[in-house]
Amino acid sequence: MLWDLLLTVQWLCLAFFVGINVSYIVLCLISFLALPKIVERHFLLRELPQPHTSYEIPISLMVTAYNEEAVIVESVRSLLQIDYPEYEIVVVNDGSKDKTLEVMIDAFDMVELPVTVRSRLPHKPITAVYRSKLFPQLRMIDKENGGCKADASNAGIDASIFPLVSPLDADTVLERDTHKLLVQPFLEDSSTVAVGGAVRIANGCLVKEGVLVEKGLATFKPLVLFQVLEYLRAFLFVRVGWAALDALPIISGAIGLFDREAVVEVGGYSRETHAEDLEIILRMHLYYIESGKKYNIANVPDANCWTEAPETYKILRKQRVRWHQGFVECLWFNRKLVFNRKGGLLSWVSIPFQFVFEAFSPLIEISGYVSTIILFAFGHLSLYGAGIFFVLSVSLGILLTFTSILLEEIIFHTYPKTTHLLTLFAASVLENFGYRQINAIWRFTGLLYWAIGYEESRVMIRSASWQGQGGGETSSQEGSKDSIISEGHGSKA
Amino acid sequence: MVTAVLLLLLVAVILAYRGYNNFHRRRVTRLHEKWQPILVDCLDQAPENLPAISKKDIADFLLLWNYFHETLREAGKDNLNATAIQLGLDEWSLRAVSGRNIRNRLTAIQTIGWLHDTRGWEALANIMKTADPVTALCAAKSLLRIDSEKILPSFLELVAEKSDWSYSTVGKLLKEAGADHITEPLLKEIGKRSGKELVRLLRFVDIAFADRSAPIISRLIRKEKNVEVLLSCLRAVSLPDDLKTVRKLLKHEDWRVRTQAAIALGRFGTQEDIDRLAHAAGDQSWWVRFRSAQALASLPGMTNAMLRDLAENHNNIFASEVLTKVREEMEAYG
Repeated sequence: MLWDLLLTVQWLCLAFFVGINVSYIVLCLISFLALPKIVERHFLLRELPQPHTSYEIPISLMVTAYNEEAVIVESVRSLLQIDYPEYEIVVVNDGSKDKTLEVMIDAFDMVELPVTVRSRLPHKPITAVYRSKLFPQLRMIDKENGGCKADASNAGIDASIFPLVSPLDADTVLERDTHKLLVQPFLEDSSTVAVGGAVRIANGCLVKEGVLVEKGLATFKPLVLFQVLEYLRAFLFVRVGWAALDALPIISGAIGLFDREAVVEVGGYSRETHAEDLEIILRMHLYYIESGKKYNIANVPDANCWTEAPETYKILRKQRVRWHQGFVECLWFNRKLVFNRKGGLLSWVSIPFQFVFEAFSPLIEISGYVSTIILFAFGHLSLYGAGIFFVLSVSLGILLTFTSILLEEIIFHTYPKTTHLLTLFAASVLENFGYRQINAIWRFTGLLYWAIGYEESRVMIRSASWQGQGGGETSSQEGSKDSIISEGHGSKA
Repeated sequence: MVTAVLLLLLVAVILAYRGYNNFHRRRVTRLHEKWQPILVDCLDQAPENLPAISKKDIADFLLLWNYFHETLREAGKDNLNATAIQLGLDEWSLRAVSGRNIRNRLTAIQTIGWLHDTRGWEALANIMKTADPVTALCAAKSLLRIDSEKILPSFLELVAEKSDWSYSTVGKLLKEAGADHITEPLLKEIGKRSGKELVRLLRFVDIAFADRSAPIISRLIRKEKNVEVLLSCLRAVSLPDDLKTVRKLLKHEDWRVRTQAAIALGRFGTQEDIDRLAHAAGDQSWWVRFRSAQALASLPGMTNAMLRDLAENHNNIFASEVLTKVREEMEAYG
């Protein structure tokens, strides 16, 4: 009986393996066809000088900050240099316990103004509003701590004055033309409600005064390299593939641009989830599908932002556990999206895919590992068969990663040195021996936490060591740091 | 075995691509080193005995050439064009405009526009009508450069009809064409349209000569019932004769119209509007209250003491609050 059960698990894993790999190969092929066209269309915008007119849509860049005294000034300086004709920067100090407020006031000569903010979204009270005397487009709102990024983001959206809002993390580094590219879908399609860009990893790059001076790789930090590969797969073929099918389920929380009124219409960010940036996108999908209103959620793969990845096992584990917990939570909150009659490919393919091959994949993966070990230990599994399966799954994983590297090389050519490429090749192979399995355990833990409703501490430490200046440790509310990347970490079951 | 071969093949392709990329980058650097000084010299005098350009370098050269065009004022552009013609790049562009390579196609479309080459007119007009929005607007830009008067009527028709055209790019093109050329056809097209199409055109009315567009805005603002059209008109309205209509719209049932009317009064209202805006500062909509208070603060002759007086003596608590905040903001920030 037990052996039958374990063998059934093995067959289930095999079916899962075939399903996920076939899906990713299809997504990969689609993005191979779509990505060059998407990027080439805007090549004149990138290559030739573009005079500004008064017709660009003004943007509110919103930075939420909780205990960010080490990075906030550099981050705002970086935002002051973006290439966009009309924008404001709204810094939301979410009741920081350090000197975030004071360093901002000192650095930008900020004066206190009366609180003229119309509260339309739920958040803790705003206690003060400041405006810079040096840069009139820079404002800061000080509010009581709400315990999560969602609360701060809602306050920032209430305080922003322009029709498009771009929520950013305090340590995000933008390229100068990021928002010029991100805004394009809004200009081309008036039903656009949200647009996502691509997140790149800044560890190993040189960042000076908030500006990315030199692109690079953290060559001797395997954990960072593995994350670089995950981001490449997630942003180069998974999202591009889904977007080409008009079934993009999520956009990154680290770089996005939203129609402010659409965010208000769906009730703002949820304070009840571990992944508010993902949840709001799913809720937008559900809201617009159910209301029958035309809408567009787009992806701009060449609008980049750079962010710091965890460098230690402990922080990475914490991040991944929380990501997966939040991911499953958000999917569950918005489960009405599955097989929704009016939802098209999103409801009939993309969201069910997220449930089966992303959310619950760690369960299948871990069951696969456990059943393999037991069956093998008791002589019910041939070493040869298991070996063949392992080699095949590893090779397919490497094949998909190499394809992402090829896409990266053809379209973006981000990593300038040939040694960077060789390092990425080596990391693509190495990640299969330990990292992927550990990742499955982390995600399984996240799934378990979701199932039992367990709450881990929501504060995470970051080093900011990659900033040219102003390094030092800083803690941030989780959720304010990063974005979920779903890219088939389960393909090794 | 198959996957191992595929993996090795992929590694080879990636490395080969890297090699090609590096080779291409070096070639572009050499091309720039060679041609940049020549193009700079061309700005002063027409070129003579230009070196030949390899077929493989044409697209990259034209990008550099277009960069020069985009950054220059009028002087020197004729010489740049003479350079391109002497190198036979006009012929290359006419061929590439119907090619499948997007990069070359866009470069060629742009080049034909700078060259004012009427031989490309038909192809570009066709692209403007049928291609994807980015390529269509690129073609429109070139057509406007070749003969703006000829293309403007059909271009403006498409502006009204194509909701996927980036209005930022359209605005840029119309501004480049200039008020001299666009005023007549734009106002004519506005007269023919209604609803969403009219709203799309009204976005660009500020590029036209104000003395010509103002009467049309006046007429529309008086007779239109469509809220979106009213909002567009209120953004553009500027004639003192329209004050009466704008004041009436401060009581419109739609809060967006009331808000926009308050902003318009802040722009060209008079002291007669003090009571009206003070009343609107107690509106049920937060935006109307806020914009009315800001409009009051910007009326000619309005002082801090007058605002304080209005806030203190207002019988509506919301109005008092918003007026106080606007006054304090004025005081703090100047």
